[in-house]
Amino acid sequence: MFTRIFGKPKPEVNTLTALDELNDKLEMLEKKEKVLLKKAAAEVEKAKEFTRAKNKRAAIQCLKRKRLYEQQIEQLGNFQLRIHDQMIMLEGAKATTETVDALRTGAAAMRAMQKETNIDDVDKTMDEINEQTENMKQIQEALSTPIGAAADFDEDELEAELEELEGAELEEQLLQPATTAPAAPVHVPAGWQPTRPVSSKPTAEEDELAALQAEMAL
Amino acid sequence: MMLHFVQPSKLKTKKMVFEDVYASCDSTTLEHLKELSSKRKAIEDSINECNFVTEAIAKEMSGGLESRFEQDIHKIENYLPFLEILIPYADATSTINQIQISQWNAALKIRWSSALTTSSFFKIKGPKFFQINNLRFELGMTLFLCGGILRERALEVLSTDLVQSATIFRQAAGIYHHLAQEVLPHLEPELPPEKPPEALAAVSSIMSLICLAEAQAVTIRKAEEKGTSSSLLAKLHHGVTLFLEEAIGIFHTVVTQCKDISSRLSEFMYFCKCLHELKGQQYLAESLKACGQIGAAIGVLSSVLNKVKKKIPGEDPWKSIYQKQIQDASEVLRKFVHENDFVWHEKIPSIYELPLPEGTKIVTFIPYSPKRWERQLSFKGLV
Repeated sequence: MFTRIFGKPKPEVNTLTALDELNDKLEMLEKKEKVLLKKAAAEVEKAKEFTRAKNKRAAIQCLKRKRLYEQQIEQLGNFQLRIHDQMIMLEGAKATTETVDALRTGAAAMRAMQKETNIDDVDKTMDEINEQTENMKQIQEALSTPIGAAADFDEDELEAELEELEGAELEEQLLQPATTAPAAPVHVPAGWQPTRPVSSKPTAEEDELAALQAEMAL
Repeated sequence: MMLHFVQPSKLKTKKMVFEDVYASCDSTTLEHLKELSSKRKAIEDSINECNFVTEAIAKEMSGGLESRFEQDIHKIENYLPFLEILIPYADATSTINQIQISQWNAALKIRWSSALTTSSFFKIKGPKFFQINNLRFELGMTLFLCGGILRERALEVLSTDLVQSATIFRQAAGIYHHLAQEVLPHLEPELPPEKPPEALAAVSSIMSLICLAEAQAVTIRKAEEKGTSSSLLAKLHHGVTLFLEEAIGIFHTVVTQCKDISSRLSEFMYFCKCLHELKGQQYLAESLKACGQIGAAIGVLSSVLNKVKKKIPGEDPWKSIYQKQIQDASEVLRKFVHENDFVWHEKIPSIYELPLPEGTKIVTFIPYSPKRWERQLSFKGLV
């Protein structure tokens, strides 16, 4: 009866392999997130440039693209969270499996000690198993909840953000010192050239090569 | 990842008795000839595998050398100085002396097998022996054998001492270079139409380059242990391919002179070149990726993998070594492609836009200086 209720636990290698693969995917997602963050920052810089050039429409377009990148970044964050959840679930499932194994061992030991199975012990074991099963179901339900649809762009918010950028730009200009008149030209005697010290350092690769040759007695 | 080509150390020879042929005038000369014959017999027994002494006795006789290859090298090094003394007599100026020496050399019956001919790989009736009545043939084949055994000795110590291994390869390269430049050019005008490839100067040039390639391969192993940068490792691997390409070029000219030279030698050079090219491009790709050029890295790896997959060695152990390298490089390529698809989306340049490999040769041969006893010999019949 117990053999049918408790299946064979998953081999350790499979769990570890899955965790390694999930870690690899997580790393890939993190790299992509960094790339998108760079692109978003680049769009902000472009928006500033267009603002200086009084091209409001183009600046707003850049901010829209920035929003798109930020949405992608948010989505990647959700993906990472899902992978983390799955890793936690895998580890939890592993712990659960080990617990069930321990319970089975305990149950088998009790069965060996007692000639008749005590119904109260069986009920207790089943209650615990049901509790674990319920927890797993809740986790799966939480994972299967769909992510809400992306919000619409708010034009007013974009306008406000643009005004903030303009304000920052203006403030930056006000802090600049006044430009001075160009200095008088300095007369340099004809044919005179400034002497530069010739310092050519060997590259790291050349150092490596020299060290290798020394070590190999070449 | 080094392929093994053992043939150059597999020469065999027949017995020679100098004192029965060369007419001595005095006891010193006679003693010298007997010593010469005795030392040569030690080599004969060893390479013909007619040795009946146990390993312990062989070690004792060679003064404590454990390695069979070391023992053989020791015997050859003892024999060569005695043989070198006779070489000047081969350059007799007078016609009368030339006739006399030719008669003696014919009576000596200098015979060696070849390990680099096509027939030597089928061994139906045992090895074929070539007889050339010239002392330089004896000197040339002995030195060729010495170079071959040094190569085997270098491979023997590879796992324990990389510096010593590389040094021995360079010594072997020096011997082959000496053969190609100083010994065999004098012999070639007197070679008969049917001759072993080992008697050609060009073949020794090939072997010298192979030894240098192998010495550099050992050096690369040390570089990899040290954690050398990918860009330098790429140049070193391509340096090995430069040595081998030069050797392959010489081989194409040798084939016209010696039609029965084995293609095994050519295959060895070709597959070694492909392996190092693959490894070099793999390091180049890793270097490019580190510089943020993953598209070029993918292009480089794809290109070299397509190239080396065109031809695969037919037999183990070459085949499994070769396929393992291809598998490793393919795995790296798969990871690069996946990362580019997911993260970078870089364009992969066409084959004409790829960076060209740059090779660096850093090993040179150790020059070989023949040793020769200072001894005056006197022969009857020579004026």
